[in-house]
Amino acid sequence: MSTINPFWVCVFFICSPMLYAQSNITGIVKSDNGEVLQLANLVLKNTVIGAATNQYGKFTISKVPNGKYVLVCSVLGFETVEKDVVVNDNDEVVNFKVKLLQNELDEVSIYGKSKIKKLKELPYKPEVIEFKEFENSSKTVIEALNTAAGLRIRQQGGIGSDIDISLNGIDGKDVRVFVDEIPVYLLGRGFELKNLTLSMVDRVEIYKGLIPIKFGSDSLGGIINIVTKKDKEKSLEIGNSYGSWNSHEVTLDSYFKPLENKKFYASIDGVYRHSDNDYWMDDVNIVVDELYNTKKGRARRFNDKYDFGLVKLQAGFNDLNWADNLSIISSFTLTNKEWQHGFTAIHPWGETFSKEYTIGAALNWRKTSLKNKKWDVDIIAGYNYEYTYFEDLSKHTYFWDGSYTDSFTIGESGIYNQGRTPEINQRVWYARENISYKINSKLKLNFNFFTSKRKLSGQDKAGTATYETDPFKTPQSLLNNFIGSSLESKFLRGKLISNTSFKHYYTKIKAVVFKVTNEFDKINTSFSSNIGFGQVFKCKILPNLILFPGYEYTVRQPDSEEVFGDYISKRGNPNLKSSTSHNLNFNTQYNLLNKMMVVRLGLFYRNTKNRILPTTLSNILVTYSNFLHTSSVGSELGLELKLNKKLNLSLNATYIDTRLRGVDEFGILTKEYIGARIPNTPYLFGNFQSTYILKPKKHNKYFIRFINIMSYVNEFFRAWEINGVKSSKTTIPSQFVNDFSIIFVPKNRRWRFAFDCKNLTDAKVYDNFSVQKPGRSLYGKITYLFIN
Amino acid sequence: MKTINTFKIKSIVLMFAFIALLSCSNDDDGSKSQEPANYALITRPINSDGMTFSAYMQIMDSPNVEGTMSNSNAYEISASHLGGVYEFNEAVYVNDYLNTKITKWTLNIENVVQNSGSIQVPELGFQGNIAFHDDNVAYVGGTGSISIFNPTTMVKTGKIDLSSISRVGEVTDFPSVGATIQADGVSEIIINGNYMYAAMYHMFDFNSFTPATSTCDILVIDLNQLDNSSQDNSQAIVNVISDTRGSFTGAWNTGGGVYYMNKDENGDIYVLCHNVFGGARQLMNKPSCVLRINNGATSFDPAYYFDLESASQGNGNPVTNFEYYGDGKFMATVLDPTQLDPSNPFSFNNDPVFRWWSFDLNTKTATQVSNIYTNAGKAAGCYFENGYAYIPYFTSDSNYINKVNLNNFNDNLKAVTTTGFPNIYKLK
Repeated sequence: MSTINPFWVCVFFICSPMLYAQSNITGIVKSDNGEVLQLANLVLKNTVIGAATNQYGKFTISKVPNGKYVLVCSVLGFETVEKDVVVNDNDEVVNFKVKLLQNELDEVSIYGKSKIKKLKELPYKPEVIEFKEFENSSKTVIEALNTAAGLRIRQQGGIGSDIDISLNGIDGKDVRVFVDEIPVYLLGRGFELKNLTLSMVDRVEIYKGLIPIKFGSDSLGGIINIVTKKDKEKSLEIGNSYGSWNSHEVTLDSYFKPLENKKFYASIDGVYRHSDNDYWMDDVNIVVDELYNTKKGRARRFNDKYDFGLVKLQAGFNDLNWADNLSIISSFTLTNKEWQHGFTAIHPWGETFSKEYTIGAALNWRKTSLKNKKWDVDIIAGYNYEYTYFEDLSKHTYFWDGSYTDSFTIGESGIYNQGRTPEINQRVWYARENISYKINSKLKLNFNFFTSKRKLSGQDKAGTATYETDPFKTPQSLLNNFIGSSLESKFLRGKLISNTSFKHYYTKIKAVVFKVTNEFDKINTSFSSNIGFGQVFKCKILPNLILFPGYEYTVRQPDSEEVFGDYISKRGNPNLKSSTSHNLNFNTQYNLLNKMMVVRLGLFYRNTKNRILPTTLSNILVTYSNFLHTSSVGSELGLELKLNKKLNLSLNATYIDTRLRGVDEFGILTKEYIGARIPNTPYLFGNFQSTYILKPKKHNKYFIRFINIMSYVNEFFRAWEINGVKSSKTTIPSQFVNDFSIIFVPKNRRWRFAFDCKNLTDAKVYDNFSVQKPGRSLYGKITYLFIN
Repeated sequence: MKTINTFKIKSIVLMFAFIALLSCSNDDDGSKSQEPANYALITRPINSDGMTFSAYMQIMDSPNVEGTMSNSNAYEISASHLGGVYEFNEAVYVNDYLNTKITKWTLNIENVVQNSGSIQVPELGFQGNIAFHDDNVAYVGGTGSISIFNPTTMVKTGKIDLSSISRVGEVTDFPSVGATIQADGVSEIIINGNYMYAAMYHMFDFNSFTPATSTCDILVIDLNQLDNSSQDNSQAIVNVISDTRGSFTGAWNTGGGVYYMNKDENGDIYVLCHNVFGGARQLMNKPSCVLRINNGATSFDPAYYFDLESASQGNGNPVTNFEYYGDGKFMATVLDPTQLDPSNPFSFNNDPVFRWWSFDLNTKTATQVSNIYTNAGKAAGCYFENGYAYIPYFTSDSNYINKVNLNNFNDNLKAVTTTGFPNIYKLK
């Protein structure tokens, strides 16, 4: 029989109270302006016990023996804060609010830096554009986005004009835009990139070809996710800018925590934008006599006014027992726009305009399980109503000098008998559930379920003056379902991270089919089902060298316009198939000079099938068809150099070779084009950005930021490169644009002033054939912070 | 003192002189005049946007080319257009209704294609085919007026106001009861002697070209009363002649710029009423036919009627295009309804569903030229020389020209494959 060793008995009795007397210290770390801080270090002074904050700024130090401690909170760029803590059997909650270091005021974007850095180093490796640098300037979201590598957004004119997004060789609707991870096509046109302003945006994440399942959406070439500002302390700020072409922008940004427990919050954000867009166009046709003979000359745009308003209300609770965040978000947008021309600017329109408004609301619930944070659930459900009205009833034919002659048909945007007045109502319901489950420290499962249903109805009084029936009065609908799952795995002590994903897409379409006479024929119902999958890696080869290889088979389903038509000159096609693409990325990141310099090199390959584009039906009518099969090979090079705290330089260059890879079943493109470069698409472009911060040495009352962005796009052919002698070919000329911003920021940040000069050299700039963009323009902006 | 090496200096001077000579010789080569080109090949490929066409022009010594002709040596005469391409007096005109303009292209002494002017015609709304009268006068119709321009200088000189004959708003009960004419316009023009004959197209729907009438209507204009520099010219309008035996005529630039009204050697005008646009063949129970306006007449010849469908594939197989090649004979395309895609109401315009036939206006007979199905709305302009026809084809996978022996239609072989819908034009 074994005997009990008295020594171990003593040890047990001495230590057992200590074992029992272990508690947790939890809390949240925020900056002094309310931003939650990720990767803040919390250490019990003179011990090795500590923890770091998660993406929500939360930390937990587990199993702390009873006793008195000093808890030290340190975050890069912020003042270190110490707090006394007494641990006495109970869990302790210690929250920190840390102040930005005074000498880091210039680095206003440093808070959240860790979040950005972490995003950039995800296996999906999105390109992240922080807008804090441009925060007080008059730049548009599109201008800021065009500084990204691999991305080119072409615009059809001035502020509020239509855009075309091209991302790593895939363009148009094959690149989806999201706002806070909700597709813009569900939120309504008010949330399109052309309407958003910098004041609303915190950052933009660009996922190139490889798309995490959390978005729960189809996309062929990638995703641009606009992340709006949130998580702030009490504040009230207004801004106003004024500039060339009678452009105004007024912004309101407010956030309140009216209750004592600080768990309830509410915010109101508002934007109003206006521009006359009456900039000069060179080389347009000016009338010289009564017969409307013309000569080339200069004229101002005259039917291009744009008004946009947005109000976003948000209210919610943080840190409830049953919800980390519960919020209701509602928004209202209104857009009034005149239409100066269509695809080309050869023939102007003088009276055509559109009106749109959207009203929407969404409920969001987020919860992370307390125990080891194994579960994370994020559910959002919403409803949006979108109203669009397009009026084209002009009986005149306009010329660029504003003169006009009577027309014998009504309408400028097409050839109509009685003009067009489509008035369309779209109702959208959507719900998305993101669930993640941490199996262990190395394995994590993610699930996404996304359902959306769109119903369309309306009328076209002018259009139906011609026809017996109004096809828009027959309701049409589009149902999309998405199910996605992914497995995140860590190997080699985290040096190799893998993400394997599987996606399923389902669509049900109920849409009108037209007769050859342009009259209502019948309702057609169709279904489609597709799968997608992907595998991405992050490999840390050396301390300074990280590789990001990845592959995804992507799917893009037909959208509502393609299915229902644009109610004007594009007929819907309910029989469209989904487009697919094999996307391959290989990205590297190398840090040099003690991280002063970062070099990024990206190689990518895309192989698409059945891309959906408009094709002609009759001489005027078009419809959408699956006819383009392309492949793209390209590379992106990025350099970032932070010479010191005052001077930052960044450079990126992109080369894309997109070629036709197959013929279509309609005989539109014949085999002679296989291997030919796809025309009318930018293939070589780059940006150089320099930022300099001037701080007076004598005092620290303010600093001035100077930003210079130079962007270059190489010329490209309007039509197929294989056709025609080069010297005879129509080109969209090379553009070199130089933008300059000066931003004055005082220490207390109460008043901020900015001056912007866009297109400093007044270069003639074209994104599209014959459609000239604005010349040199000047803007001033003032921002005032009432409460902080 | 350092002396100058004269040998080095001479060598450098000689080198520069040699380079200069080389440069000059290159320039000299480029400026040499060449023999004027005999023929031009125009190709019209569809752009990658799937909606518009570009157009390319290259010279040919002879139409008898075999093999493949790419556009690598061609000159771009349009990067994006919708419409037709026309040849007149050794120049080529791109008639672009998308951008509402007409652009002229000529060859310089080096046979390099150059832009020789353009006119804007947005006031026409949607322009029809161009009719060239002489070096100084050409006409192009549209909605509400016919524009008169000088094809040499490319300046508009006058117009014919058609508002007095507009029937917009008139109830026609076609294509359905209560339907009205929503728009009308001149789709093409032919000039014969002292008269201009303009094909009037009355539409129920302009987007689909659905007609609002079921008759053939021709506007007759007295050229003696026409002042080419006037802005009215309503006094020159003689009348609108109408024939209930046929339907509308006129091309609206289809087929790359073909005509549906042609003159024979006697000066008689033959008008092909095709019935195809806007699904009209199904809406009106009339076959495609040819009507005649005798030389100098201002009315249809009631004694002449040619039922093209009965003579070819049978009733219900409408006939389009009208490529006259002499002795009362012409090439035309016959639609085979069995080839239509039932899910696409515009299949007639977008699919290869037509076959080429040869018709005889005198014997009122027809002979099938080929079994190959082609898209006749995009490529239809034929060229005829020395007893051969050079017929364009747009099949589901390629564009080419067949060289056809007009005596027996036997040598019906693919002569040259092209990139885009082809047309051959004789330049001199």
